Amino acid sequence: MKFDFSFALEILPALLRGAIVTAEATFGGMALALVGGLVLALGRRSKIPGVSRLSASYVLFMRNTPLLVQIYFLFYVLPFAGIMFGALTTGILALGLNYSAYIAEVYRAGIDGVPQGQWEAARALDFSPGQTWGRVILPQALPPMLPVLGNYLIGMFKDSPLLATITVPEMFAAAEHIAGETYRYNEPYTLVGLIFLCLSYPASLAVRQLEKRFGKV
Amino acid sequence: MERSSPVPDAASSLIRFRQVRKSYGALTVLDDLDLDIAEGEKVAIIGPSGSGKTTILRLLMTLERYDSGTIEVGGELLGLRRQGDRLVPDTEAHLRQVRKQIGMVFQHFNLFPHMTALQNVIEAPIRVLRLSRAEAEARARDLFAMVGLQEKAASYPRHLSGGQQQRVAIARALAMRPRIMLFDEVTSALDPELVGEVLQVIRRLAKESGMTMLIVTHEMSFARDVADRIIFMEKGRIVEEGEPGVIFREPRSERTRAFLKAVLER
Repeated sequence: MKFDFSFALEILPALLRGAIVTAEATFGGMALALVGGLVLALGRRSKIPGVSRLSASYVLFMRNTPLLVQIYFLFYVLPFAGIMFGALTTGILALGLNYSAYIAEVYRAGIDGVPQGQWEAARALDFSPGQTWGRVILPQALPPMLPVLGNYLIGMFKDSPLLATITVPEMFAAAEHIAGETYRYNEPYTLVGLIFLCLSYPASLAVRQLEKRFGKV
Repeated sequence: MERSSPVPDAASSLIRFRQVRKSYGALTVLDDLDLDIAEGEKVAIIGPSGSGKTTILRLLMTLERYDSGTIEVGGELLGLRRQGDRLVPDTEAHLRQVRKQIGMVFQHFNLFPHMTALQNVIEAPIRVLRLSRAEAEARARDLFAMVGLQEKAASYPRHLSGGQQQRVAIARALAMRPRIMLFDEVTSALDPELVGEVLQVIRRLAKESGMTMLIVTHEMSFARDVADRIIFMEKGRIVEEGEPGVIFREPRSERTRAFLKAVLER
């Protein structure tokens, strides 16, 4: 088996263009998941009847069905209900909705990790609910969450090639496209792997630093 | 219940419990409790663990709800309001108005670990009382002097000893200028050699301020020094109350006698 460096160099720009779409999908999905996770975590704490159960059911469902099935469902089934998005938007939606379920649990663990006495001290000092969250609870709950959120960001990045299956022109799709046209598989897939490695590895080192700094949840 | 004066007459009491009941499942922690505390009074509550002492403070601080009965503070219902002839849960705004008069010091300090000692003390005066930073810091300086921690204002709680942390917690509660201070076993989590410095601060506070103080403690000699009145509780009821001299020297109830014998001869 031969690795043709000049061919590799030739296809690199196309792969990097794909990598930009990969980054868009990952960051878009993460942004959605950070907000969605918050909504779910707050829903879980809600005293309104049904809201807490609904939130718990959502988490249960998302965590126990394959991401690939969810992606297909959004892309192929929803249009029958008249809901239609572009491929990338659908992809971001799928990643975001899926990871919301996991990130909700990160928020929950982070908030539960703040001792009960902190809530009581805030109450004894007559803080409003907003002040209690903003000044007392979140400043303690957020730092330990950062490494875990970082890990989920990396995880989502590595899940993003699944979006190739719904025609999102991200990096893996670009490699497939090149392979399909040239019948040369070694260079495109090797490069895709290397690019993932080059981005994931430094990110995981950064997460490890965060863990050292803030501890694990 | 056995009584030896002085118990305030009900009309003048600042804090008034009437038939207050609180249970956790099958466990009754307050059993139709009646209690009156006058403005400025220093009351120590003693008794075996699980007797409901701490629950009295937690209900006053509205950290927990009571099942039935009424609590009034300064003539206003706590946590409840009248609607026609029924009692319904209070609005959050009014609840805060009543609660504002009360400060609390906890067994485990509960300082905010992400803030320095100074920030711990000025945070609520600035955010809740809307003092300027300068006013709040001036207030904090006086309080740090009072609790003997002038040089520790910039330290984070994790760099302070337990006794120092508890003194910061006292300063933090006092910075809100409460009318009523609640002390919940404030030395129970401390190493023995650190107990004295905290009790010293409370002793001085009791002597020099007109604040109403409710003190739950296992330190009997401290209770005797600091309190105008001792309340002995067991199983959610007040068994006996009266002046410290009387309670400690000639308790009327057999149960009080047994408890004091057990803790004093430890």
